[in-house]
Amino acid sequence: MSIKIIKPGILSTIQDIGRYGHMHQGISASGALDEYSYYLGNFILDNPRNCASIEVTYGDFIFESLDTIHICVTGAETEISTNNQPNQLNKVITLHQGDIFEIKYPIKAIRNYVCVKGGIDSEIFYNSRSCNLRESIGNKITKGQVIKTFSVNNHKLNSIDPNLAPKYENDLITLRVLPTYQFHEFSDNAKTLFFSQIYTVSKDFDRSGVRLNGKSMMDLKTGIISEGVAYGAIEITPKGLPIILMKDAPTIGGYHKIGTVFSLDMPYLAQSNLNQKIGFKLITFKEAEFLRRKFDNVFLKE
Amino acid sequence: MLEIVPAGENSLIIYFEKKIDSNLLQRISYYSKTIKEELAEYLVEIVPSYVSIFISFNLNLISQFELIQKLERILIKKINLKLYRDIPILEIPVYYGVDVGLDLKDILKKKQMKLDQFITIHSQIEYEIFAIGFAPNFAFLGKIIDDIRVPRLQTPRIFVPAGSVGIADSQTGVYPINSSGGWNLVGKTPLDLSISNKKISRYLKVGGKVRFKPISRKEFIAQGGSL
Repeated sequence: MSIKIIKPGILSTIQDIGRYGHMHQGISASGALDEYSYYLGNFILDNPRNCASIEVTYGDFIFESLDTIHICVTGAETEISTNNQPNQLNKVITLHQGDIFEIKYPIKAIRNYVCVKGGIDSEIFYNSRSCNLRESIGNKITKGQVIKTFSVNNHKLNSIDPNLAPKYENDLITLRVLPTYQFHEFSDNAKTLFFSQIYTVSKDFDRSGVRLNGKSMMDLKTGIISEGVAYGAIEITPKGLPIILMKDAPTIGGYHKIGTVFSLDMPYLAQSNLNQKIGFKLITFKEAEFLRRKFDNVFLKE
Repeated sequence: MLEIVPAGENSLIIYFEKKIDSNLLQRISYYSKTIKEELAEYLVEIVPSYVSIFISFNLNLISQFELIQKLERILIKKINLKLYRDIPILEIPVYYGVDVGLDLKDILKKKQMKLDQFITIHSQIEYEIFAIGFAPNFAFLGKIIDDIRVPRLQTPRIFVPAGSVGIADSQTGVYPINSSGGWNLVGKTPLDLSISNKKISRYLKVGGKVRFKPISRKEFIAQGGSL
């Protein structure tokens, strides 16, 4: 079974749960940036959690279904339709041969996930189908490309409580931060500035990192000996401004880190557009552990 | 000094020292291997580099607190590093020429040096792998001899072709894939160092060793190198 791309949009790539176990070779995790929406789509389709999907950035995405398939689109708030008849996000949509499916430019947030019953069947490289353009692994989806999907015997489909779907904010997003790495090396002034000001997303944001604009910290750090970096680590550049590391980020880095964004808040950063307001507040390890386990218990069952 | 610091709700970092030291690399390499063997069921990633080991783990199987306790038990054991030398040396053939080493001319002029001298100095050292990162299979090798040290380029190149050999301050390395890069280019290898070449991964580990073998332009082309 397969679909044919009519309009690929500005950046659409195949993403799954990510490429793990190879970070020591300099290979980043990659994978769906908005984990929440990605898991949700597979959950609704009753797919195993690792089924590959298409991550569509800024919509403007059209494909033709070449067979009967079940899909579910999650993520950014946007208009979606089959043959110009509107569909709903976070629900199963059945497409038949020749149906034209469209995702419009989003109203809120920027990334959508096109999940397919059975998942996308593409080449596996180091345990994952995820594309990482920085590492020359995989390619952007292009016009005319035919993407295969697996056929499965499992016909079960799920519906969810609409309250379970993520809600995206155009106003302020407050990210919860764990005090990690060099947190204690920052001065009280620097920490106060960091946790009290409202930053904005700069023009430099992609699948590797999000640079923020704001008032610079005054006690400038020149750098540390390069070390392994966690997903969500908040690096402070020599200019005193933060970069938050996303899934395609290099595996080691030499900037001071003031903390790490709690993983369950990262999807909201991943969905942030230019000039999105971002604030930070501390969270304890105990609470983060509890919340992450609770989330995994819902979504990450095999 | 030995310190374990959290890096996220499901990750942490072990610091061994504050300063880079090649003797430390063997210790870090040993502990990475031991931790990987003894705690495999809990680990997701283990990334040694320079003075630290970064670890991420499966939070659904173990808490940060429990993992730290297990790590401390491994880290206090006395070790005999003489018994531990299991990473084979990687020999990388390099064509040092101004047509592929775009910064060679400038370096030779600055250092008042002939190409032969530069080649001898760069290729005489058995380099150690201090870290792997920046790009898949990009190994940070050290340390290069003072006589040929130059700082990073002021403005990084947008395009550095795969196989290019670069130097920056005390370090040298090979770009395994086409990428951007700020190191001074001095040569090129015909060897495929990308992760697609699965034969190379057993050499490219922190604590491993690398030697550069100078080859001629003709040999470079014969071995599949592209100019």
